[in-house]
Amino acid sequence: MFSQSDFEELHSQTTDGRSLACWISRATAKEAKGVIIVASAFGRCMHHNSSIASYLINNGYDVVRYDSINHVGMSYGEMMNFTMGDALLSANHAVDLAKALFPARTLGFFSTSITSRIAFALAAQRDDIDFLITLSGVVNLQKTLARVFGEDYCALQLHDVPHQVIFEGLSVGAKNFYQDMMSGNWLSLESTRDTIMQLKSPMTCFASSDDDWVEISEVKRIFSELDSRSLSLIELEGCGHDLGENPAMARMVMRDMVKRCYEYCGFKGALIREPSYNMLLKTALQERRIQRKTISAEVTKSTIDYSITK
Amino acid sequence: MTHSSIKLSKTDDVIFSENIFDLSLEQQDMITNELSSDTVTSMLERCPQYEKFYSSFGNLREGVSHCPKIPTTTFKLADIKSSDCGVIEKWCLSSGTSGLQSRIPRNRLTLDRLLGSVRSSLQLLREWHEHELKIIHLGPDNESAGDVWFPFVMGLTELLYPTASVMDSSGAIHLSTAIEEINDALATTNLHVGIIGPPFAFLQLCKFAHQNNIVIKGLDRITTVTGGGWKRLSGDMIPQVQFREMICHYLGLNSVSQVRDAFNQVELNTLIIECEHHRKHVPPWLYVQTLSPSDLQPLGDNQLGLLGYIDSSCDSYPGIIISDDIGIVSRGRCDCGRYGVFMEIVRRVERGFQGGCALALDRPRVTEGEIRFV
Repeated sequence: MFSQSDFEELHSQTTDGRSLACWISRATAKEAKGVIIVASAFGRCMHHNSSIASYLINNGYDVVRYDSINHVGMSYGEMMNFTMGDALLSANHAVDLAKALFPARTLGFFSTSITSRIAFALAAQRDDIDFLITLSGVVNLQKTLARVFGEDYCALQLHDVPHQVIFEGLSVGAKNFYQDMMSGNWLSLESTRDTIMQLKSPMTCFASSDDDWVEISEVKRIFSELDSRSLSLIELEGCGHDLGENPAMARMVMRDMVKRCYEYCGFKGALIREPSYNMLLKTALQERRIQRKTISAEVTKSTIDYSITK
Repeated sequence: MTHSSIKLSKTDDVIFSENIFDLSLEQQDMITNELSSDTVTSMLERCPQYEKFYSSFGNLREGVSHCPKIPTTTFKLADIKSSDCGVIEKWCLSSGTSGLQSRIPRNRLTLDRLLGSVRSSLQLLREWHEHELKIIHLGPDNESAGDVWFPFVMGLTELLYPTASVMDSSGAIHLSTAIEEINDALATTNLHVGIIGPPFAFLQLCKFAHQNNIVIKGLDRITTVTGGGWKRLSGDMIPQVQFREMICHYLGLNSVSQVRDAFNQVELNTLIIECEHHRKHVPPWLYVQTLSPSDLQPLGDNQLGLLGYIDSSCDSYPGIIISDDIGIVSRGRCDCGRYGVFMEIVRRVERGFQGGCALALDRPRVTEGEIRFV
């Protein structure tokens, strides 16, 4: 039986010397079926993925979680300086770390929302990611951001972009973010399609039919244009963008995700072992307490700055 | 590309949907009628104990309002569950104020739906993101709450927001710590402060502030939610209007609309919370009615009676119950602008009457450890 509340916290230096915080949870070595990197969604931290990690650990996977640099969480920097480029650098570093810690393991990458746009780029650049699983993955970043913030800042000139915008109570530096998105070609549906065309690994994409931030019609469109047998689209009927608000659907997705991991790692049909409710609850509470202590100072500063939004 | 889909049940679609309280009354009624009828049918198939109980009433008039409902006292004496509900993840216990504790079996789906109910009810307060709210819980943390129901439910807020629980495992409430936490959050952050706990804990907090001349200036930055009742301290009970004014005064709040009450009991899987006009809005997956205490016949809206429920969020046991509470059910448009069904708890049934209620049913004969129906 795995102890799901056990993880090792690592702070690893990126190539430019910034600290990336990771939580490493190990399956028992002889049973490990692979290693899965679980990327935190935008505005979320490692503890928000405690259930996903528990499901994977309980089914024989090593798990590496990380918080992006210049993002909320335990890594270097803060949301005011967030960029897609830094998020990609963080993801790359997490993969390098996982390869070093767990050499010769099948490696999967799990991502949510905007982080999935990062994951597409990551898997297109590297040939050592064996499979990709995305949840509510953003395919049209400009449209998603316009819906999130209620205004299409990406259509503005840089000087018209506000200094910061607020996402779920967190201040995000808008100008840096904007410049990086423009120079990195992250924004359009077409850029995502072109990136996915370069993928070398198979991918499963969970997409919600009632997602206000990601139009499932656009997901279907680019997937159908690619017509690749290595792409699987699983539609979550009647569900919104954030599965954290729908634990019943989240449970079904986690079971299905484990099933996909088994298939990608050559264990098709293996029994899915569900962690108990009490274990999930205990782990979730413990991890929340650990991370909230660390980030409370940063959040306090961030929320106090609220009044200078424009 | 391969394409497949995952779909939830009708019940889950409702429980986990957004803005459920913004539906019209007609839409809510339609949902309630459909789900409660399905729930009764399902429990007749899946719970032999309920099926026997139901059958013992002979020919019944059609409709959920007339379907037999299990007295909650029965759960104190027998384990009742649906036969194909899978693994029971938690046996939840009542506080045992009157001696025996109810034992309710909950599987994962039922517990997930409870969390969905907590999220939905929070829509009646205000929607805070995780980084915008700090909770001070005048009760125990999850570990100390164990299987006792209301503290467990209250403790679930820690999944959503940073929470400081100030009751230790011995049941002592550390009031000075609570005051420190409140004033610290007000002084050093821009966070909103939510204070939750049983009413007697709020009374102690106010007394402590009064005796020690402690000033709290909550203004519009504190919201309080009471729940769980007065328990053994019912002698200290204060009428609701005075109670709200007391909290408002000692916490320095701008308005009594910041003082809310929530209702739940261990046999019920749905949290019911007050809006800013202090009306308890019933979500549409929960059917609620009043019944005549003398013959258990359904009463109409606005008539005082025993409260009965059909809770469609219960998967692992029949949430088809008659409670020990006397109350009123009404419907229409609330002053808060939302349409729906509202319930008001007026008082608990008196102990003598409680027994009378069970006797009045004259159907289940209960022996220790199991339930028998004749």
